[in-house]
Amino acid sequence: MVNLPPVEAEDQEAIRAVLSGDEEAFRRLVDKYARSIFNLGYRMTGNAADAEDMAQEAFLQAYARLRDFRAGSRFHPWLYTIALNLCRSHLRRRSLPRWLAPTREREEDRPEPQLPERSPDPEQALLAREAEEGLERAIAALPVKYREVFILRQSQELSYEEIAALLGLPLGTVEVRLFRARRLLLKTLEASNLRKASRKAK
Amino acid sequence: MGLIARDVRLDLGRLGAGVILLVLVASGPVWGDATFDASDIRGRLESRGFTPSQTQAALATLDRAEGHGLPASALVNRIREGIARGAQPSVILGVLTVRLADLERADEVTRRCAKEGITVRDRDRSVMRLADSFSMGVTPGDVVTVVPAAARTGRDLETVSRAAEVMGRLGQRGFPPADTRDVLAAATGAGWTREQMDGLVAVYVEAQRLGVGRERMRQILVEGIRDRKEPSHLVEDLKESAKAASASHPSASSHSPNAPASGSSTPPSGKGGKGGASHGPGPKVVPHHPPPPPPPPRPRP
Amino acid sequence: MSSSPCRHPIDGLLHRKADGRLSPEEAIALEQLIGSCSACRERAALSDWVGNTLRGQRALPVGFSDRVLRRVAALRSPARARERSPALHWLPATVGALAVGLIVFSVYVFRGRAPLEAPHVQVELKLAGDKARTVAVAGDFNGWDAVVMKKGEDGVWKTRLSLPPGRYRYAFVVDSEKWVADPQAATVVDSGYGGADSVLDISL
Repeated sequence: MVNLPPVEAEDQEAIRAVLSGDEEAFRRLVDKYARSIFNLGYRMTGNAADAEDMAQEAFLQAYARLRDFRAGSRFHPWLYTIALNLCRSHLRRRSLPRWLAPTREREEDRPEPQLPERSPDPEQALLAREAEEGLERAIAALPVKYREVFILRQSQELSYEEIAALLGLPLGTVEVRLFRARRLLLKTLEASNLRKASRKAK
Repeated sequence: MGLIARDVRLDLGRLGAGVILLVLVASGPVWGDATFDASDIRGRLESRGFTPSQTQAALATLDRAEGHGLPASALVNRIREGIARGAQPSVILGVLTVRLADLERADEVTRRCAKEGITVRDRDRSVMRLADSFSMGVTPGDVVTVVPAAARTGRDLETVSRAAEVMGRLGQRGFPPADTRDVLAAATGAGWTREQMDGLVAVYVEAQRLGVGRERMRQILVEGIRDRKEPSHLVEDLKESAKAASASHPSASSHSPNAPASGSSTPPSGKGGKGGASHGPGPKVVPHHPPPPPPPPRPRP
Repeated sequence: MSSSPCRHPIDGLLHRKADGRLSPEEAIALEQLIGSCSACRERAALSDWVGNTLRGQRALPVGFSDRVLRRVAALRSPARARERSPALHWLPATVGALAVGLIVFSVYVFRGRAPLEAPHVQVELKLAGDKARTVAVAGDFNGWDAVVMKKGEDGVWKTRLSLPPGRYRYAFVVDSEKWVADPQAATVVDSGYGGADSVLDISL
């Protein structure tokens, strides 16, 4: 325990405090990891309401099972696993027949477009937002196995080793899935851009 | 009491406590299981290859359920099922995680109902029914949509949970809860029985067969139910709507908000059904409308 | 290995670039493809854009931590309410013990005549399966220990159950290996184990 990097030592300390009855100590863990769990949920489910729902559940589950958490192992990956399981089951239930398009989010729930800091040109802002929606749809079209690896790498920026450990996969499998995910995503985006361009041309 | 020596009092106290304990233990089987049999479950899990920490994790889930007053038996059944179906320990633990989450969410909805004055009877069964509806894709927000109507008309938790179940069954057939919850709220407020709500599934399937658009479906059903129409009458309204659609608007994409469209491309008509039923937290839906074709994204340098 | 219309091997290069693992030779090869082929240029630009867009993290909804902590507190309070005070006063204890003893005694004695259990409901489950060798049913009502059903002359497998009111999940097992939900059940849910469960919800 002495040799733990400071980040993990903090977590172990917080866990110890919670287990001795200090509920508020759990807030330290929530504050630290909420954003990354929420973003994982957001990228996996495609909307903020479900992402918050999932993130809350993940932390509650973690709290409930804290007693069984092996002291000395890392908290973040363990929390991740819980979150991923919840995402997976959410996605399983939400799959509707193909002919139904996913319903749109409310205006307020949509992400801010990732524009650099300058006065937003309204037309540019609109284009950027639509492009991002296209990206979200394309990600949602990825098979779950590819989507997970892709999001963990691109959005959560985990290393190959971390992803492999989290998902219980060999490194080689992670690499292959990531490659296929990227290739499929680019193809999907190109195809939908082509459709939009030809529709506009008519 | 001053007549009895202090140590005698303590002894009697301990005796009393011991008798109570004995009686409670012995009476377990008479009053029904308040708890699950941890040692029995542990034995089954270990003989199925669960490691000690996996076993602990499973039992922890059961403890938590019980700690919140949730039916731990529901989770025990999931363990028994997983074992019977030959599932891996990690998969069983995954199912327990998810089921516990659903039960907790169901419990919150139940508490919300109680707060609104809705009668709670046979709580465990309604909680399980709600949890099942979540596994069919319904969200707590969807269920909360019917709560005001239920509270207003003195309906109980069972009704709310059955409405949620119908939403789930409709969702499985391709009618998402975001579209059907207003209809279920109307039915709840109009005093529809369980059988009548079950009958909504057939109505939706028929409407789809007739080619009525989703938004139009919702409007006709909500208004019709509020006007106290019978299901057969509603089907008649839907038929007329479908006929009108094919007569006056041969093309699939029409721009008038009130014109029914066939298939899944419905014109925008603003946020769904406000009339009366307030939306729960996080209402999500604007009916699907085809996005304007944007140019391909100009990639940023 | 390429999926783009120009058939240049750009996918692998873009993949390694996205992970920052391009070797100098690969970087040059990529530059050449981008310079010479418009399809490759478009795809490379798209790949960069995807990477940049996804790197941005969405802000956490305000008050998230508060909401979680509130729910955590709610998790603990039912347990707290159930904690009994360590010091039992002797008088209530003995009176309580006697009262409880009396109740238990009377229940044990009168058990046969005044059952505490709710009356049972008769239920019949059916599955059409003329070609099956055996059909069994497993569910919450029998701890998922499959019980074999009887095949009628009409080729339909049947079983009768006597159950207290409640909500039960179940499925049929055909030929000891194939799990099948009841096609006649009104409600069917995902079991989480790869197949579906039917739901039986009985009231008096």
